[in-house]
Amino acid sequence: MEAILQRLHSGPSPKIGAELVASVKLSEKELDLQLVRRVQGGDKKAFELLFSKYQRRVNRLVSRFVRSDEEVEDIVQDSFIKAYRALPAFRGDSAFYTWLYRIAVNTAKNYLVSSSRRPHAISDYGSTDEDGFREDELVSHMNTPESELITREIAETVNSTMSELPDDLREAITLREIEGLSYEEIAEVMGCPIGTVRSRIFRAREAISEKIKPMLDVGEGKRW
Amino acid sequence: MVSKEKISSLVDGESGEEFDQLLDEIHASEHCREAWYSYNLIGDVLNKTGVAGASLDRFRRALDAEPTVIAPRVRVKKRDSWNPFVRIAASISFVGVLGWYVFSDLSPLDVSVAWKNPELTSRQIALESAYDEAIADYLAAHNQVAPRAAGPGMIPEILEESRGN
Repeated sequence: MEAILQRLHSGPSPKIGAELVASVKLSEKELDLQLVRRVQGGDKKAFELLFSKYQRRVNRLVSRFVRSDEEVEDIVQDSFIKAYRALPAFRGDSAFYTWLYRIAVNTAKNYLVSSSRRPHAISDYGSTDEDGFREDELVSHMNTPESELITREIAETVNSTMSELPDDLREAITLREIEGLSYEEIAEVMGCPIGTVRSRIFRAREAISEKIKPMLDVGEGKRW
Repeated sequence: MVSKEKISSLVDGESGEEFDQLLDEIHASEHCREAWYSYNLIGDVLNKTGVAGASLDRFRRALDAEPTVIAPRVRVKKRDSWNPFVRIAASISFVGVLGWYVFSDLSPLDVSVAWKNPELTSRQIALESAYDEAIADYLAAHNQVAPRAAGPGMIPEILEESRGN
């Protein structure tokens, strides 16, 4: 795995790199756009899938402006509802998440203005990595000690199950989720057919999913 | 029922042509929605985006309270290839040609023929003169033979005019 990742980052293959990652993002953009088109055609449930997909990213974004967990959740929900109302005007020139991101930032700022407060600085909260991610964010935005525990458990279970996966499954899902490669690129890196890549990624996800399922069934409200 | 492997591909944007069918099946099955949720969650944990999120139940209630949005279909407007400057130039040219045609003795067609072949034009003018003379002679003879009462006004005038030419 290490060798593959090393080859991926420094290897001579011109096909692997930023250009290909961009093509993966385009694919994600297309997927979102198709979901958006469904919503624009009157399919509300398709918007629930977008919520299900992006709520954690928006949650993380909003938590940079607002400290209270309850307020963060309110702003996240408000942002998605505003996005839903504005969706007829969304033409797809930008990626859906970029558009949603702007709505969430404006909603958070308006919230702070209306409550006459200033956004807290990210540096107030300990170290951040280059992507602005803080380790403590994983566990800082659930409302009760019980749900905090579950959140922590989910994160730990995902990571521990990953380390227990057979090498080929772990490699495939790492290349997909962390490196952002498309199936075609993963097939090239791993030297196997695309169908095998598809199957490996799925099996990895299922293995992890089975482990976290009991944790998802508890807590407030359904998650899906 | 749709296989979870297809949902896994859909999450990655690798589902291909079956998109609409897959979505319909995800809507219809809690089992599939669970897979969609947990596959996205796994991705977010691995990317360190985080686990925390809002309750879908609560969001669903809020969404249900919203009127369904339907975007108007975008009409593809046929792009007009005539740019405004071309239109103005065409209008001016048309007015110019029309004006020339109306106010000039020679039509643009005659002028272009004359310009192309001056020898032919002079020959045609000579022929026309000869023709006019012949007509004038005929009319003069006719005038002498015809009874005076039949048309005293017009023929002499025409005769005089044609002679003048």
